[in-house]
Amino acid sequence: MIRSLRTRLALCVFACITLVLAGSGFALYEVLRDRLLEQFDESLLIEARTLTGMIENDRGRVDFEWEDSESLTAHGPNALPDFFQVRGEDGESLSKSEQMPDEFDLPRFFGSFDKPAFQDLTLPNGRFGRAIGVSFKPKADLADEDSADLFEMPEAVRKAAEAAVPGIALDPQTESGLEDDELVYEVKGSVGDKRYELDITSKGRVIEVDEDNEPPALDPEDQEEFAIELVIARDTSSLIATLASLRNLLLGVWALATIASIAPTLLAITRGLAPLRELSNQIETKSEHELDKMFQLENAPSELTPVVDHLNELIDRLAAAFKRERAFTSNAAHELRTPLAGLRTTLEVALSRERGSEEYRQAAEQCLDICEQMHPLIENMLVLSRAESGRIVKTIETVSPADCFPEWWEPFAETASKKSVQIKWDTPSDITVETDNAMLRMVMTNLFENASNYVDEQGVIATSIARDNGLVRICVSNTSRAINEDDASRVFDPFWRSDSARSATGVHAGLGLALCKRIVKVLGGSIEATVENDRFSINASISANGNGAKS
Amino acid sequence: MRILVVEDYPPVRNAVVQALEEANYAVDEADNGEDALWHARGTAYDLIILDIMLPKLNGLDVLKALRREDNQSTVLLLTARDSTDDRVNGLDTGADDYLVKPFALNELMARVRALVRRKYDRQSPLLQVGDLTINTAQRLVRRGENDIDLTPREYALLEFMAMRSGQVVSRSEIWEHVYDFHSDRSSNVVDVYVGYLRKKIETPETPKLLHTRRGHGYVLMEQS
Repeated sequence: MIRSLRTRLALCVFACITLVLAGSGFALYEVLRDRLLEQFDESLLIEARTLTGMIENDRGRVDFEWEDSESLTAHGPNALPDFFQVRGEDGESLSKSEQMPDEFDLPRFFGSFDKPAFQDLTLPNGRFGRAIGVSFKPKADLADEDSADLFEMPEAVRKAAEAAVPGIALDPQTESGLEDDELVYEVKGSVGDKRYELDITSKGRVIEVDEDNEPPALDPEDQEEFAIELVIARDTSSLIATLASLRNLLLGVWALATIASIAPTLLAITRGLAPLRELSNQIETKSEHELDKMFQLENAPSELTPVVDHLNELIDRLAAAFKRERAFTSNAAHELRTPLAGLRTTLEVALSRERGSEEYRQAAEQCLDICEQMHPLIENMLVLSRAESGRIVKTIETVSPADCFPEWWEPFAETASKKSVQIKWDTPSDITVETDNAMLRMVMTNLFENASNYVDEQGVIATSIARDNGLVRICVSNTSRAINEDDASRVFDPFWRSDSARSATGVHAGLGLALCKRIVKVLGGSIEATVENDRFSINASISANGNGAKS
Repeated sequence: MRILVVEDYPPVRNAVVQALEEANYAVDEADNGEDALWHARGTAYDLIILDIMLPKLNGLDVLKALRREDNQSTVLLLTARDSTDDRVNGLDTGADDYLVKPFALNELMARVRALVRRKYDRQSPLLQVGDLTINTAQRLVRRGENDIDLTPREYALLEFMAMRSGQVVSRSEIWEHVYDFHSDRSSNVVDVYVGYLRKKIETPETPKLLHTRRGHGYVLMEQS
């Protein structure tokens, strides 16, 4: 697994460039190869056509012009391809090129001229070659039908012929040639079954009259047709060499371009990743004390802007959490230091000189009091810390507030009765809650303690419960002239306490209601405090069926 | 020396008050900021030991009010807040010293002695009047080569007089600084104690040190 984004990107881009170059090189090669092959095939086809023109149907017989040495000379020495073979319909070899050994045959295959067949093969000289195979019907060998020599018969010649052989039916075509500086027409015709050949000058002088034994030239349509298979092969070594050098050239270009692309690719990626590196540097060098400083990227690319924004949001949240944590720790330290200072000073004063046993007893009692005050404070801090980190496990059971609440109230009854407080209960016995008994008890104990501490002399503490849509609403209220709405909004802050709470109870770390808020959340509900007409109320709703937040 | 202890947490307040009283300081106490201000306005305390987190009016506000009123008492902030910011803020508000809870009792007492010395512009814990030497740290008094054994109250009186040696100290000043309010103000207890002290530090052979300025008070000095 490659960890560096730069390397990963570089490899990716590099692979893409290589593939694209290779692909286009390959495509280019294929196109050029096809074109060259097409040209080659084209030339083979032309050769085939040329050769075809030299094969004639001479009254049902195949006539190869090249076997007629005069004709071959007329077409030039190179008119014939190096390798060719002509076969009849039955596959019998009719003719082949002189360069081919007798025992060597070209393969037998064919298409039409419209759709010729091609085949790669090995030539008798051991080289690679390519052959075209066509099957065609040779054209009729019209009597010496050299178009250049065909003339319309002059009227004088016709009359002379008709005069020489009476009743002759002249063939439409005639041939002419120069003989002793005189244009001589060779006129053919027939009288009945008898054929005549007459040589007549253009002026109508009959030179010679022969009886001709050859049958009259047949009309092409009337000739018996047959098919001929022609295979022509040609050496492809030059084509192969061309293709090979083309391939090598393309491979060279590909390799060079690939190598040449390394540096720009790396450079581009390095530059492209520069903002990321910058951000990484900022993150790396950021200490936990600089959470107030935001991450900033000059000209940040749009892909990184959300990252930077989200990082800054995260830092904000972290900073807030750190601040809360620091405040909590600082408050906790403060709350612990005060009783600790009490313990230490009391003990040091007691030990500073010899004293009577009564004085020692008083000091010891005072220390015990301080320890008893510290105990719930430390317990609450532990539970709160556990609740904040979500390590509380609920044990759901059925709780009946009508039975439990008065029992839980018991420890605070004395404080309340000293203030002549009136206690009111509205806890119908038919309302039960599926919840964690211990947690609910912690909440109620804190609410009761709070109420009994804050309630005015001769005031009222009222506790009520009610069902509400899957929730159970619990309200604990006490009359208090001291508390105001600003206080009500802060009672759930850890360590917050009103002045009256301080002077009333000495050590009273304001953790109880913060703890209640957290636990009520665990119990799947919410809590709020209100002040109305000198009455301070805390309304907590918890899930009636044990549902709620897992922690 | 009269000291005001302002602390809302009773165990700390009680213990500090007891320790100071046992060291023969005249001590008053308050458990909230408003009471503290009321006390400080009424009496010229040599030292005020002041907690910061206080009900009604916090310690820093009390201190601000006192300094605004040009109160000359030295102030020792005694608090559980220990951050540098808290200390700087406390000292800048006008406190003379700062001690973080929990503290060692003898450190508190040493600071109290130092602050009292400073209040009377004394740098040394040794006070010298003629051949009379008072070691305020060890509470030892000697005249020439002879150690003098004093009761705590006599010592407190001598220390106060020695701090202000050369100056006339009125009876009411002695009242304010050496005895606490619980004593009966109408009695002639100051004159009685001055008499006791004079007997212990002066002999017929030695020069007179504690002089009476009729109608004004007393003065501790080498010559009249």
